[in-house]
Amino acid sequence: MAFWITILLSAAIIAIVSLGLFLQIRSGQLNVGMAVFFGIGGYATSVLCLRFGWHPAVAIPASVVVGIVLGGLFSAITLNLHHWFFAVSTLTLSVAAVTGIGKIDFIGGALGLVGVPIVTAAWPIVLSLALAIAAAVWVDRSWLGLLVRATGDDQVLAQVFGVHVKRLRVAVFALGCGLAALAGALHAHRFGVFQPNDLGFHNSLLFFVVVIVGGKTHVAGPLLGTVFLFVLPELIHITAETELIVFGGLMVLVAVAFPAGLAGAIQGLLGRTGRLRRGLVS
Amino acid sequence: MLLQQLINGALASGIYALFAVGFTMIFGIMGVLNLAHADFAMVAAFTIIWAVSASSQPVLAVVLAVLMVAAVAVVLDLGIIRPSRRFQGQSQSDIELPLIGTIGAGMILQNIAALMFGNKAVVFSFQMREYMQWGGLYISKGLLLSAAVAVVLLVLLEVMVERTSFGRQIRAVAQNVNAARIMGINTNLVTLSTIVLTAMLAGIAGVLAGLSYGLVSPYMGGTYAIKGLVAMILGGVGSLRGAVLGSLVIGLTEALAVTYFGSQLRDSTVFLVLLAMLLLRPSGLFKSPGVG
Repeated sequence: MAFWITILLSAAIIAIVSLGLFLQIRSGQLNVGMAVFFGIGGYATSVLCLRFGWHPAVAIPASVVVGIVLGGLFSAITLNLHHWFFAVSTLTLSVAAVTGIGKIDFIGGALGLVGVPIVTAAWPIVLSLALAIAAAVWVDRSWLGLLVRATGDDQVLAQVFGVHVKRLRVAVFALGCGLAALAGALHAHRFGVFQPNDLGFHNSLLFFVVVIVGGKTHVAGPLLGTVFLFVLPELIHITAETELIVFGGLMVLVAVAFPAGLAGAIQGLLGRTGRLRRGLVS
Repeated sequence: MLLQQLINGALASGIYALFAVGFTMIFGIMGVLNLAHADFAMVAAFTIIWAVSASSQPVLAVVLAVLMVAAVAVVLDLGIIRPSRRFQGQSQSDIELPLIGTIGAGMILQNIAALMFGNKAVVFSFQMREYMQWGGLYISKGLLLSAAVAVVLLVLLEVMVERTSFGRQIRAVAQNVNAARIMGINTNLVTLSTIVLTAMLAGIAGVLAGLSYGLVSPYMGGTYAIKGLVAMILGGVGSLRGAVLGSLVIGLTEALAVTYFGSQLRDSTVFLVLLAMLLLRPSGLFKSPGVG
């Protein structure tokens, strides 16, 4: 039982990041470097606790703020980029961040930080997940969500209809990065260590795959994706060696047959009635 | 020291250019960012390693590598890129589905290679890592060869695109797919051929990289993908000359970064150059009529 709680808590952390990434992708900002902001949160809280002696209860919210600010900054700089090029810039950021952070000795250099105060309670993670779900649902289901989707579908057209795309993009990206930072902070306090590798591309890829396979059209998508990609391997024992093939195969499947991922496939199965009842057609 | 680094950086940019040109052509004619492109290099390199260890015949190994890369390229286009482009034009911003598909394809290729050859770097079958002296400078022989090969290939590519009928077809498809179809061009064949052609360029680049650096790994595609993509953006998407110029910029920037900041910050410096470019001149150095 304790094993499952551990798994579920780790999955919850991933779900938090994925919900943030989901919102970003909705707004047309394909962030393949989400682990960087996950890492910013983790490093922020670790540094605040270890070097400045803050208490985790204060450091974690502070890390979220750092994530929001830096995320907003990145988005503001890359406003010109759409879809692929934005993805490329996040990819480059991802690579640069791992090597760059490893050079700064103040935050532990290449070995990272150890001895971060461990928070064993589960409620912060559960509460954060609830908050993340609430935020994602609120943003996605409200009029704001329609604006986000409009921006993601066709930015120029959205502008024609009066959507403040720049503000929207920055706000959504900042929110997503805030969630990622929150997850990173929680992760740091769970394991007591944080390293440059945690910012690495394989983490970013994991988050990205979770959202895409889970479905980028519905809020439930990231949650489904987390369960599918994180819990399922524990059930059917996918080894670390073949993990990439499975993930890669799923991505290909999504691209070729199921553009809306798991959530979309399930929606399709449930038929039109579900969509009509909700009033939103995906 | 600086001059030496700059020269080696400029030579290395030859390899980058072979990737960048592939990215930009594929994007130019079908609007798809093929993130599995750099993995063609890895496929070629590992096919050679496997073939040489199985048969000890270099020529056979090269032929096999060419066939293997072409085969993978065909599968990628027919199996992944073409089906996922079906969804383009529908709502929900599904235009990035081919990108997702290529990410998946790259992951699969990398993992298969890792399963077959192990996770770590492997020594390449042919080595050309020696340095030769020229004046007071040490220049990598492998990189010199790579740059020479790259220049020849790129010139041939440019000639093909500008002067041949096939090149005209490519440019037509890049400008307007539907108009090209109306004019009787077999756009599917053109895109397939372009992918195979650029894949072979990437394969050659992979072999050159293996020669020059001595080691290859299943994940070697990653770094080259990023450099090729950044070079493409720097030079202006869809433009061949831009891609080459962008690669040169990256090669030189890396050389400068290594000299002044140490090799750790090499990638961060490339990122800063990319950012600077995006802020100052987002469309890149060259414009191309082929990209919508």
